[in-house]
Amino acid sequence: MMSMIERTIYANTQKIKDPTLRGLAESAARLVLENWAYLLFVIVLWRFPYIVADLTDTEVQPRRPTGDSVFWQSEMARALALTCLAMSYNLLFGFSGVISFGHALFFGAGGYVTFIVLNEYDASYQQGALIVVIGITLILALFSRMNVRQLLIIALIGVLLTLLLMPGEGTLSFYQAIGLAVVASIAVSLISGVVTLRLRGIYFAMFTLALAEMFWVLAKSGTFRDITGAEDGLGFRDILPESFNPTPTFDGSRLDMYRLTVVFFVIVFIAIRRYLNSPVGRVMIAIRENEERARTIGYNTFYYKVLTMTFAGVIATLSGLLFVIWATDKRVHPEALSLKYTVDPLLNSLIGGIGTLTGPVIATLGLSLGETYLRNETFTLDTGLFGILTVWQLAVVLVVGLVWWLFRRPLQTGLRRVVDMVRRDTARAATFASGTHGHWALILGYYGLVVLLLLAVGLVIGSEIAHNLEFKGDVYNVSDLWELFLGILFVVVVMALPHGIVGTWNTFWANRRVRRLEQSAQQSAPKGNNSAS
Amino acid sequence: MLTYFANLSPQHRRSWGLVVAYVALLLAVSYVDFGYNTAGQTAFRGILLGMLVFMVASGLSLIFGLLDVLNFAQGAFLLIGAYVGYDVYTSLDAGTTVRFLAAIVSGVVFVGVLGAIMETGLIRPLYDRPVFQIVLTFGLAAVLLDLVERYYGPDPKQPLDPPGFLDNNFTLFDQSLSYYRLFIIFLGLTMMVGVFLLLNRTRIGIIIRAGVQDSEMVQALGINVRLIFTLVFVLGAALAALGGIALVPYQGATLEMGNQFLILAIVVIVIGGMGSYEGTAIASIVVGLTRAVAEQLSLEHFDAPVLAETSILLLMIVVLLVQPSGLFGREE
Repeated sequence: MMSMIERTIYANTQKIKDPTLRGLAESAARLVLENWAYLLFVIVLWRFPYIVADLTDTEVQPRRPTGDSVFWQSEMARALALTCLAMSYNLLFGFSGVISFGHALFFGAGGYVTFIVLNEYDASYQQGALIVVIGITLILALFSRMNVRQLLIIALIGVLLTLLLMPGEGTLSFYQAIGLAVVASIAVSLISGVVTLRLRGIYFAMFTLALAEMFWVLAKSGTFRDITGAEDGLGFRDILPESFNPTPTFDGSRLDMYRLTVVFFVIVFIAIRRYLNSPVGRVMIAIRENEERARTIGYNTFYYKVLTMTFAGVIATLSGLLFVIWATDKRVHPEALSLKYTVDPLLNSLIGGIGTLTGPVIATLGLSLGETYLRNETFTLDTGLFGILTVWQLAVVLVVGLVWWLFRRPLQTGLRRVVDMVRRDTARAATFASGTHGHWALILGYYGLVVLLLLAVGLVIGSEIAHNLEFKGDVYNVSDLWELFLGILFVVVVMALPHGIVGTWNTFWANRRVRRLEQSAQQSAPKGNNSAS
Repeated sequence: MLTYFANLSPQHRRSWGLVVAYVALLLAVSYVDFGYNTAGQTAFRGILLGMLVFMVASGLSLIFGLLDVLNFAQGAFLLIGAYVGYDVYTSLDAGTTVRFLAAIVSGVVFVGVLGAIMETGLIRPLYDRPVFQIVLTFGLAAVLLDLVERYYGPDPKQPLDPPGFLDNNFTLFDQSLSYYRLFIIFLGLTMMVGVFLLLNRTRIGIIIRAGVQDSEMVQALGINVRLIFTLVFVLGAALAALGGIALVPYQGATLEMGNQFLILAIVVIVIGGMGSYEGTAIASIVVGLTRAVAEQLSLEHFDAPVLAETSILLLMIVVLLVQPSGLFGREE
């Protein structure tokens, strides 16, 4: 099954390259027509601060940074950074079938490496960096099946980057720090990839989890307070240098930073899309589908997996840096390395749809912004569904309903046995009065009973919970329920919608189209038969 | 026992040799470096830690061996067991011994029921989608952790007094220790032997071992494998919960506990070989000893106890590189 995007891109690759002006204009027009939804989305993102400002009657750039527009700019930018993280996770999990539980390592590395380099740089590090580069090359040579030419290229790039990024003396600029963060993430993903990607899926998952947890513990511990700042994290006030001027009007304000984030998001999206539709990406998908077969055909699957892991690692690193700038007020905390930033992109990719490009975007933006919105709203205990059920009771009804749904098969088999028994008895009693009414009445009664049971259990347990938990007065907000909601959503998606929201949507329309085609083929078929006979 | 060693495969015989040599090396290093008493204390701590890790790891290993599910929620089970046990232990109005026993029973039963619901409701429908099983247990672990935090609060719970009949001290290696520590070791050994006997001397054990070999064949013989699956899952969850409750009088209950022990357990089953019971038992003690010695070493030489965390991981990397299927795992 091809998703909508894949189909579009496939059509793109089929086009004949026409170098004339008219041909170029045609391709440009086709590009716009085929990607109008994405373009619209980007325009909305770009205008987002103004839209919010219009809706809430606040200023986009007030003198004091308060107001709804400013608040939502920050929230949106934070969500976009998380979206990039989810997309990179999805690239690894959804498109190459590699389950990594250590993605937070790259996410946290973005902030940590940049800040540590900015704070700690010393000219003697250049030699250290060169040693690291040589070490990486040696490890690659020992454990991978790369040939000499590939190794030489990697070593050469590494040495060049080191020489370029690390001046012999003095301090590093911001760009060099970011560059080093990227190089570090390439190094980490190369090393961990080369060491661990030979392992079977499950060993790999466990290994990455252990590795990320270890770095989290190291970053948190007081032993390295001089370098990592322990629980307080590292801060850096003026993260963007004076010389950073992508446009003449850029002044490093919040709005400009927001636009920078949008640009980064668009670049990441296009890069991932481009990567997936490059020959390398196609091989990647082949590996996900059937690694044995890909290897049999002659692809060095290991090489492709390491490459994808490196690519995903770099994106995660950059989005981690962006997140640090936005969310935690230019401070990187050990939390950025914690399990939360592995679980979050995992849940978001799954809910949106693994193996789809837009799924993680939709899920992350929806869940992240929705959470912010709901956490800021407050509800009183008495308002619930139609004033009958309070929110807690509703939650319990949902949970019990979920449990019932999960156990519906055993319940129904049990019920069918009872129904059969009763029917046999009634049939014996009234041999002449045949019909299925009794059966339907029983089914209706069963469902009615289930609903009543759900309501009763929900009312009792829900009010019980509501009374036992302490709320701030009568008013409480959704943050008490958010994890529960997320958990239920996650379970429902894993159990019922394995393709996620976007994947299910795509499958539904693809199936429908196939059915339509089959129908029209059937309708036109008899005519052909008639003319033939 | 003798027949066991006589029937070992060459690979396992080599692994035994490696383990014995490694443990001897560890003990020798600690004896030379710390002196007799400190080395003894360190070894004791290591064995204690090994027993606790074993309770989580044996469940992980059993579940993986039979069901082919890597249960990342095992750490959450330990956490829930500890918190429920803590709750019961502090809220009941009775003598400490009674409360402790009540805590054990209630925690184990609670987590066992939770495990049963999880296996039948969530994991069973996913046997044809193994990737989703892993993801599901991983996500559930995060959700359960969140719920525990929401319900019991983020603050760590202080260690409680051990139950009355264990509230005495004894002296070992010049250090006064609570009998409770001996009790944990005793509990761990009992579990080790108990599960070993269950696996090797009972009918269910035969079915479980056969299921580890080839579950389809067992099903073809007319045995309800799914029921055995659920049983093993519940057993694994209950063992983890037991470990959690045993921790409460010793370390208290913190939210980090679950993941901390999950990581240790993962290292253990990677080193011991996934699905191998003897491997898990041996590797738990090896990991416990390594960690204790590394902790002592880094404390004395670098004043940095975190380095111990790295030692465990290094051990795992080395084993993975030398023998990717673990020391006592099935050869692939």
